[in-house]
Amino acid sequence: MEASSLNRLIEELKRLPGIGTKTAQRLAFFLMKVPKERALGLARAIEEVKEKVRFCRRCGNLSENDLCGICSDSRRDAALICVVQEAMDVLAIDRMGEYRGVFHVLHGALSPIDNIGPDELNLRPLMERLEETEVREVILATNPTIEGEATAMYLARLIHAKRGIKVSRIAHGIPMGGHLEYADEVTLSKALEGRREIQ
Amino acid sequence: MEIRRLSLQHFRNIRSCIVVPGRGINILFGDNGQGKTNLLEAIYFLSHLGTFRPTAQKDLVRQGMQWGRVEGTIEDQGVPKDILLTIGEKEKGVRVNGKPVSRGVDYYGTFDVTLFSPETLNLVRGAPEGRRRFLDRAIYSLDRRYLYDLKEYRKILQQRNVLLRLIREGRVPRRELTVWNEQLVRTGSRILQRRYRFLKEYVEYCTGIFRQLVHKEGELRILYHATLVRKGEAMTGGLSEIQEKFMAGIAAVVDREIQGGTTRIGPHLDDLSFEVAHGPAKSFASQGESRMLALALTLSEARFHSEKKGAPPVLLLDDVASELDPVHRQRLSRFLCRMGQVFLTTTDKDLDEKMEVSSTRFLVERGEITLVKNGEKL
Repeated sequence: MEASSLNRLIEELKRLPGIGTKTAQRLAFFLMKVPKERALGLARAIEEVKEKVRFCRRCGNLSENDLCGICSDSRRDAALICVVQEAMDVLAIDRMGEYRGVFHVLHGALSPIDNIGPDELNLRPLMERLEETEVREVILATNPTIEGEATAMYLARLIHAKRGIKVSRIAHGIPMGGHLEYADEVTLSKALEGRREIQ
Repeated sequence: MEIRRLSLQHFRNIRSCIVVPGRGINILFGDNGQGKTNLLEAIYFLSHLGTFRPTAQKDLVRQGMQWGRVEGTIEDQGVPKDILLTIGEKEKGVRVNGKPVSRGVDYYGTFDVTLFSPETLNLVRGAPEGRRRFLDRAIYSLDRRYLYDLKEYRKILQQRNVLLRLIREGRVPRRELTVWNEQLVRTGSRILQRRYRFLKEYVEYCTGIFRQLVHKEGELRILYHATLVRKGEAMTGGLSEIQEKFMAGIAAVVDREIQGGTTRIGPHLDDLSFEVAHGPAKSFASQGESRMLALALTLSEARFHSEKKGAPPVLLLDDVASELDPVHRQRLSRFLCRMGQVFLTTTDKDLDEKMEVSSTRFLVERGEITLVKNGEKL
């Protein structure tokens, strides 16, 4: 191709998750055709995000301030901490509007293959929080993958060793509104494993 | 389960054919290299969406063609199902009753077959991997959670092995191993428990079938050699017992594990052995005997499966009957008469007479398949 700047754009777009060569080309050609203002608007949005958004000092969530909106919300129950792998998980849990506690984002999960050990995770701030504030319960909401499980186990052990804080793990099982007949056997079997008594 | 109608297009050397098999024994006869095993392979593909031969998928499509097609009408306890597979160079399409199936796991169990091929002979004498694979497949064909546990176990192993090497190089403190040990024990113990439970039931089927086929008063024992059980130590197979032994086993070998950078105990290294009459089958059984033993093990799996699922799987026996002596051949045919639908390949055109069974016979010649009745092609 002649236009090397276009090529560069395509290569940059290809670095994005979920974008292959074809999609990158389509996006690049689309950006070339739209009015200059719109394309530059995208560029500026990216720039602004990179300049303004950082991690919350306390919980590691995305924030434009020193403390994120959740940590600085005094109506939230700061004695209940939900630990998640990524900031995206905060959005997911908060969207349901049920949860009134606060979060802690680890930015990953234990994975020796990817060279991620406890030191690579956002752990120390969590342990400091447990020391400094009155915490009643920590909910471990890492993913139900082997890496997420290993991380949950590791954290449970760490927190138990420190002091008598309740540690819980989110349940795995059937999606709500779902019919049993459509759930795969593994999910069903895990749901049975995690069943509880109805009072 | 039964195939009522099978139609192939551009599959291996078969250009196009429609086969309407019989309900009981079907004999596919013809010279070598004519396409008998290809037909079995097509039936196997209909069940497993893969082949039992070590070839690439694109080789399944007839030379010079873009795609191949396998279409089967299956009857499962009275309920008919139409399965259509299209095979391309890399991709394949699956439709059941006209509806596309996108995930392999959703298809699994739609159509069950059990295969005995010349490679199955290695079961008794070959490497442990073959025996583990046999065992695992027999279990997960009835229990999908087991397949999931196997996959998860493999991932945990990978992670743990990397960690062992990092510890050896001094890049990571040893205490980071704890959570991975726990994961290994948790998933590994579930696998072991399922294996013990399966073998306990399976060995009864095997003994019965072994006596029918090989030795009237023969004794068959299947021994499971768990790497986490020391020699002479008993194991009842309870979950908490397995977990305890697993943990203790890790503690005993962990130094060497770090040195070598691999996990040294667990279900991924276990083995099976078969003892016949007075000694281990591996060392004493003759070629013919280990052949019969492998056959008995395969047929037992089919029988076990059929008891659990309520209907026998389709049996595929590639080149098995022709090399048996008359006594064993007759025992085999008596047994097969009581199974469901069977497909047998042979180069012997008089096999049906030798086996003294009524059968549906097909002549396979240069990729053409013709029904033969009373010695005449139809």
